[in-house]
Amino acid sequence: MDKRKEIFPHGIPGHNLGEIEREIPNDEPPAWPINDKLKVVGKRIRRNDALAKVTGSAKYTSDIQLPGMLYAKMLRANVPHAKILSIDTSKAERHPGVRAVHVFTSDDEGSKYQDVKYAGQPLAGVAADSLDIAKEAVALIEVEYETMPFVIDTEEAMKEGAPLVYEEPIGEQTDGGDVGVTHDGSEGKGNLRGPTTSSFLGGARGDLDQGFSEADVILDRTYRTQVHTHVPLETHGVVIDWKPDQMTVYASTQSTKGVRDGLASYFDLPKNKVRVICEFMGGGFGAKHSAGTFGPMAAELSRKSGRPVWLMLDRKEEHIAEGNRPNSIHHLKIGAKKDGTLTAIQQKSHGTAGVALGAGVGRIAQGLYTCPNFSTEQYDVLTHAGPGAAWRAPGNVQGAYGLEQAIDEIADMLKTDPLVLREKIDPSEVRKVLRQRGAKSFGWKYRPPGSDTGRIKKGIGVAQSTWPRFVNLDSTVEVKMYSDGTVEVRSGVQDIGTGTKTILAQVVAEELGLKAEDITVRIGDTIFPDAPGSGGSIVTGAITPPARNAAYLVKQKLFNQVAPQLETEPSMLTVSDGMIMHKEDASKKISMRDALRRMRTGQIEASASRSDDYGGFQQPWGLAYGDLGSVQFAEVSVDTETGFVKVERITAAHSCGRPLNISQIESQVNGGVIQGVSYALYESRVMDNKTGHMMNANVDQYRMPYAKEIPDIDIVLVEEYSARSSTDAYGIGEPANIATAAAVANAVYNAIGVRLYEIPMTPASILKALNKVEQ
Amino acid sequence: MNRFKWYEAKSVEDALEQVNSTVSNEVASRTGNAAVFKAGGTDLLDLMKEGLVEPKTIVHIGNIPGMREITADLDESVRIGANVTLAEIEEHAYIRDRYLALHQAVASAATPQLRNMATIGGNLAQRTRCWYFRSIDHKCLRKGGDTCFARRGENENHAIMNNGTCVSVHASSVSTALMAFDAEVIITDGKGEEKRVPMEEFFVSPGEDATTENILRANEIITGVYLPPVKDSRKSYYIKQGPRKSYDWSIADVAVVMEMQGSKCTEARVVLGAAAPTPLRSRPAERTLTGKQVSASVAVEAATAAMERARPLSQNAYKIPLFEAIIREAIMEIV
Amino acid sequence: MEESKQPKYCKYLRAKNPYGMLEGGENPWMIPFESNTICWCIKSSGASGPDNGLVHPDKCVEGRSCYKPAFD
Repeated sequence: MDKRKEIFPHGIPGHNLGEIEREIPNDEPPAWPINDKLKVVGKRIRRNDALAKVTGSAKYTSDIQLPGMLYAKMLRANVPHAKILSIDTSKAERHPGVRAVHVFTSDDEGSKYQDVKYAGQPLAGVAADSLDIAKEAVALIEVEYETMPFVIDTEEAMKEGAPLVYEEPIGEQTDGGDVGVTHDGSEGKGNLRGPTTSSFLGGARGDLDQGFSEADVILDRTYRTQVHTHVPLETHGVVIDWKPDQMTVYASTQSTKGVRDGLASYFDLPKNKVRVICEFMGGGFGAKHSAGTFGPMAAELSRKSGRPVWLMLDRKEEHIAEGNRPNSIHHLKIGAKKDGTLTAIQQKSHGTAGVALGAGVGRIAQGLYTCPNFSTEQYDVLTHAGPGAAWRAPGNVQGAYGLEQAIDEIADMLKTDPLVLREKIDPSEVRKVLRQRGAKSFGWKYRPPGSDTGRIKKGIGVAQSTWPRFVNLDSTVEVKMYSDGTVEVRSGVQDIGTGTKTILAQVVAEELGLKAEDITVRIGDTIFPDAPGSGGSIVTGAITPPARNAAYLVKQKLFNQVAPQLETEPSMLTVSDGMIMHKEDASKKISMRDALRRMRTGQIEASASRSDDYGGFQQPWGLAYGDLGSVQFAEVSVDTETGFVKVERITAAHSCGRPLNISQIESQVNGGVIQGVSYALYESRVMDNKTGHMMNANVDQYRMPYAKEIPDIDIVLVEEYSARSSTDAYGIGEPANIATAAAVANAVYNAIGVRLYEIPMTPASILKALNKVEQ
Repeated sequence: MNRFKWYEAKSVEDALEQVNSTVSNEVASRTGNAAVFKAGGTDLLDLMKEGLVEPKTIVHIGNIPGMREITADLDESVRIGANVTLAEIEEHAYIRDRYLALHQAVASAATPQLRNMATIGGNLAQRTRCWYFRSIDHKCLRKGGDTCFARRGENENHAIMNNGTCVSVHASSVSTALMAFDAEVIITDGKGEEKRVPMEEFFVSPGEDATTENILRANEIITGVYLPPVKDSRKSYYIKQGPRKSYDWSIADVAVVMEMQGSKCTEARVVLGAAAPTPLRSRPAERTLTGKQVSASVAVEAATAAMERARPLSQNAYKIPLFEAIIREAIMEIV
Repeated sequence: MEESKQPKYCKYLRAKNPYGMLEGGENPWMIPFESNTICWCIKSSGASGPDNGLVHPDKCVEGRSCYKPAFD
């Protein structure tokens, strides 16, 4: 492809802003200046779906009503571990109003049914005329179980002789054996899997022994976090209408493409026979990337009944079966010299994602600070509990909770301000600016731990995070301009709720010299071009360059038609405020509207995807460059008599490349901070170890934060230009959530002079830490 | 939730004719044929959503005339109709002025939205929030089973006193304050006869019968709450500690009512909520306060006395220092 | 990972790496496994395969009773 050179802004305004030359493909637009010089991008633009959402006219998946639609409910196992001897659905089938019953069976040579491995595992489903009837029918299904021993507690599961989640030997792994050493030094077997010793950043580096021998201080600690469920406002679910020519799926999903491909694979259908629609989305936080079990179930019921089937989960099902952030028992041994230089980081972690894998926490310790000697061993502990799922910066939130407290502890050992220590050991240029600007806004003035007096003690803390910048090249956008002057953007990308729909309008409007409200955005439908799932905070960086590129191409098409009318060359034309004009001769101009009216066809359109990152990728296997920094500061007050902690305020300093919509970025940071505070103080999945059930599978005793739990949140946003794409923008959803719990934990320590080492920090654990509880 | 018939009761007598069971009976025996009362519905509907009770008929008492009034008698006693909402009590100036601890307890219960729906009668009759009781998968003592799962299970929110059988705590933190004012529950039976039952006699300990938390029978209905008159010298304070401030169930709450002559306490009520399966008067604390000039050290003594009989479970020993802190604080807020 | 290596995995194995990308099926396998990668089987819709065994790139290969080659 032909390329050309362009000069791009590069660096951080107010710090080191400069320029850089990049070679870019000829079909991508010239560099944008920094946000100050743009009209629509980088501004506070109201969400283009705000009115629909607040007035209730926005239709979410559970609102979908189709002619003849049935309502479905799934039967879930009420024991944590069992073989299923029989499932008798005859009574359910005879129940008046029931239209279809489906039982999950295994086509494997063994048992007819898969074993139950956690309480809440779906077994069967019923579609009926109403949800009440479906629930009644589900209760009539008779299941005969042969129950088996089970294990819920992570540390119990690590012991030799614990009931096994997977019976077959776990066997030799590519990167380790089946026997791991547990956090306390004892050997574990069976339910342990690992260790994982590498990430995309590579594996172990340097020489740990050497590193520790060079250290003046060595910290050796274990940090623990709880299992955290996602609790999106909208639960998982689908409405599926399986017609002979097409299966139409309305899904609450973070990935229209993922659901389409999953169902196509499950039913062996061509992709063009499955259409997935998600126009509005009530949150997912990482748990909504696949069709789940409910997708195939709803499809089976639709096929059997010949009717559309609604299958949305209830809150209890959501908690027990649709994902969680695994817990962690996170061991860190860190060596440092007197001047703060880190000499060695040894990390070992165990965590449970229930019956699934994915409980590692190691990447942040590997990547946040410069340390020549590093090793990690991350073990999954399998337990008879619901499967984990990606959860807003997977592994990093648990990892940062440990690492950033450890760094705080080292600062303490060295009698240094923890912010000063980070200045010494953190190589990131953007976090340097985040620390400076964040500390100023917060009013950071270090005071020794436990130095506040009185019953209510205040404390301050800081923590940092990093999140990789990723993009997904399978991201395509189509831009159409109609002869009536209207503009439409189309992509299969879904808006998880962060405002993707609005930034697409902004980017296209900026390129076409229009206003954001002039642009109609149609997304969340697989009949439009493919786009990535909303995960990894990749959507903004992946989808906005194609949107700008497509708008640029369609603009060129329009210029080609307009140029002869204005007696000039297309290359001499530009757009501004709804006008197409000659770059040098102000008399040669035409309104965009008139130009479109005079087109030879009723519409013109262009599709575009995006090139590799300008300047190339950092990772040879693709798709990564740089990091998205955050530094968060917390102030807490602790009632030393009741153990009650209140997070008073958080200053969250963040970068996300070129900010596209300030209001929406702030909204993401607010959400990330609130979830972080909640993780630090409130939310925790409570399992009964003796019966294997989750005890707080609701939003009553699963403690979510409400208004009084939410601190004042002060956001410091730093623009950082890296000239990597035509928009140079990145997401912020995940970075916003990583550092908060660690900052709060450090602030609690600073307040009371005692560190807790475990979240959530509750009145019970605070009073215990203060030695006020006799056991 | 099961499908049910709805009956709009026109009078107390009409309502009593329609019902044939109590929610408690139905949770334990599950006849599937029950007709039960609903006022605000904030507890009943939760129980129904969990499948713990599946009434055939719901007898709605929320619109019965005359049950939603707060009236003061000539002797300055107060009668709160059973259908008065918590929000209405919260906003009532006379109650706030005379019965501060009750005002505080009501204002800290649940959320504004729930207080708009929840009635005082329903609040007294609600079932425990013990998560084992609320789970369809655990047939515990309170549901007619033979196990208290919380005793050796997840019991951080549970009872530290009187926890020899079921270890749940009562969900009504409003009762903590009512008991401290020597309030009485007004109960009407099928014959239209009214009786007044002191709060301590209204609640049933699980040792007597774990399947119910109060004395109500199927032919009885709470029609109101009686508050004895208080003089200006009767001072009160209430503190509830929940894990969250916006909305949560109490993990420890206390109401202190003292008759004060200057700084001397001549009579005291100290009632603990979320300490035991029923709201619990702490007579050791009351004895410590009575007849004394109340000072910080007396407050400490009373708080310590209140916790003398505490026998915490595996996860709730933290409640002892927590109760001591809020008892001290409540006492000192009065003097 | 190169295209030619893909057939070793069962056609029903899927993974989501922590960076938001789906792996398996027609999507490339990027890195064999990371500690936050979530794996599931399309057929059983879960982390446990049709044979009750763990779903994982090391496991969902030829020789397993429920294995199906990627291109048949």
